[in-house]
Amino acid sequence: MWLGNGESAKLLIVSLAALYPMVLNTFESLRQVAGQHREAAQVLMLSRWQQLWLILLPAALPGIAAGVLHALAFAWVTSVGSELFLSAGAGLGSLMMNAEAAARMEIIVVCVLCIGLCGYLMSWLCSLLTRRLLRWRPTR
Amino acid sequence: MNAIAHTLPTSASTGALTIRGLSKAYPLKGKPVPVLEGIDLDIRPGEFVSILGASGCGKSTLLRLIVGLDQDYQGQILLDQQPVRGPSLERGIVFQDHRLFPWMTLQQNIELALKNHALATAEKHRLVAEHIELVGLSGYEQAYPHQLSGGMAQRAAIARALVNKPKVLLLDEPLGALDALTRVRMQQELQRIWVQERCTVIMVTHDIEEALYLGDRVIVLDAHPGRVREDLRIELPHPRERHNPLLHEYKQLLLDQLVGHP
Repeated sequence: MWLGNGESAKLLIVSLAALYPMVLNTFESLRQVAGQHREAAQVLMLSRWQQLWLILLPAALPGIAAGVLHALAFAWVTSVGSELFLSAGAGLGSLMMNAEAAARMEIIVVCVLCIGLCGYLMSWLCSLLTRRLLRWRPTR
Repeated sequence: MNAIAHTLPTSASTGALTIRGLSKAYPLKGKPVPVLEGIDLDIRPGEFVSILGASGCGKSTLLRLIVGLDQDYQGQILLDQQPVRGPSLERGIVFQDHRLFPWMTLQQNIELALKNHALATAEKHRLVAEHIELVGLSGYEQAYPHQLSGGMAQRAAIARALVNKPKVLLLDEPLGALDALTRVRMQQELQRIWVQERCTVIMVTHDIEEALYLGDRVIVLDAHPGRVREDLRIELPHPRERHNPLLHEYKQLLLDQLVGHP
């Protein structure tokens, strides 16, 4: 790896993992914004920027939010995983590696529980935020 | 009430629409298929024109050309002698589906139409409130579109189109998606709103009764390609009675024309 095995290498791996689901979802949902919305915006004589900010982005927001949730899961998995491979610095992954070397099973179990709990909390926070942002959607 | 006061001075002076030799074709498998052919129309300022025709006769296409969403046509469309190029706030449109933006409240949706007006915020608020009142939706300003019924959403769409004070209001089967009862009520509402605002209105519909009840003129379009077949002037003052015998006579006449005898 060009970036050695320090923090920057981990950062790169995590960003790459998170980038793809976000970019793909954002692109796809922007592309699928209904022609009706675009036409209505044209008829109201909104400028290109206004169309993007006021119409396209909000219309694509549900898809973008799904992408972010997806990316969050990917990022969390890869950030723990990258620590297992590039065991440098402090982190749950390196803590587990050290515990494994020292045969300290209890630390590993606590780490695994922590990883699960953190992942759950993050996606919970993310969906709370999403629900707040998308409160205009009809509730089923 | 103040709606009457501020619209009357300008009414019936602007909003004359002239259409000359308008033709439009869509390419289908490489060959152009004519949708509209040689349409000539003169619409006077403040006139309510109903355009009647079977589905597929190009009546919605005609409105899309007038509003400026489609600029690929032959012929001329003039609004007050000025050629129409692209969308403009002089021409408002209401589609069959309300097309409100679901992430905005009713008030925000209507305010969006005033986005690029150089008006003070207070003045914009006043205009929005006035138009919400005009369409009878006071109290629902903060509702999201999915919380409104079909008829209410369509009223909101009408308010959004009117808030710019367009010279011409285009209605593309505005009541087509509503149930029969709501529809009758909305026809009365439309009549009341138009009597107040007195802008030029062109309404496309396939409902004969609706066309007759509301229109000063009823224009019947032929299909394949769309041509003007009939141009009826309905000499009855507004507001009208639905049971007027004259309307019934016309209805029979149009039914015979459109459906024909077996």
